[in-house]
Amino acid sequence: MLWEKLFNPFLRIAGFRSLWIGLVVLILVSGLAVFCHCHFDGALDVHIGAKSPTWFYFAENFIAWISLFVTLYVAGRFSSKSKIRVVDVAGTVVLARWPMIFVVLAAFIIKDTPITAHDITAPLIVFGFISMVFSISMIALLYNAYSVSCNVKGSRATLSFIIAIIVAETISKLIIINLQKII
Amino acid sequence: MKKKLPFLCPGCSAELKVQSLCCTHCDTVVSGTFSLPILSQLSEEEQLFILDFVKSSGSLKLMAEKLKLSYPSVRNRLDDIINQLENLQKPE
Repeated sequence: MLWEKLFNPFLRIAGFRSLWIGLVVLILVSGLAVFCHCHFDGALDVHIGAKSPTWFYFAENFIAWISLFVTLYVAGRFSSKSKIRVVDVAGTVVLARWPMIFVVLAAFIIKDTPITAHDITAPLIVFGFISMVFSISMIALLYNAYSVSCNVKGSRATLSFIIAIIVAETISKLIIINLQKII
Repeated sequence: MKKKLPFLCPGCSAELKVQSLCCTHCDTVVSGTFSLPILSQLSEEEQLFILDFVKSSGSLKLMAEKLKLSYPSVRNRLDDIINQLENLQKPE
């Protein structure tokens, strides 16, 4: 039951309810990212980087969410026979990003640690481990969000999901790189 | 004990037919070969879902509230039942 609530909350929460809860978490993650210079510079990316304008941290998170939601919605339209609601895909996908709150909190561990290519310090290892665990759980949640909101199962779901997240990662990365050139 | 109506042959898994019907009031027995209605070939849980769906005037939103499930979960369950009914209706 607890496992289902953690990894497939979408059986019980979807639509506008998941959208507003997810958006609150997204804004909170973006706000915290400002203070620890944590960049979500891609649909599935997280890096600690240079200080950027406040709006940029919010833009990164919104680009990551929108690119995932649009590509998964399109994938769902192609691979599902069910009538898919945009709000269900948007809501479940944004809520699936909730584990990022732990990643951004972990980023505070290495906030003041100078990082070079040769420094593999204990805080960096801890951050790497935490970010890896919660990024994997986010991908698992994204898959369940896609499966429930678009009613796709089995190999068809797995294949279309993989293609969609690769496309989302590429699109979001390109947008964020071009946005970085502006600032 | 509540008996479950079987619709598949335990020996060869072919579809079962009704051979006789009886009146428990006067003991009259009607014999013949009758097909089971398609809905009775669904599981009890699926039949209850259809019953709830009709009682909710076909509103998935009401169903979702009643079952404490999300709208897409209820829609997915309905789509699965529709798919199953379509398979049962297919001529052999």
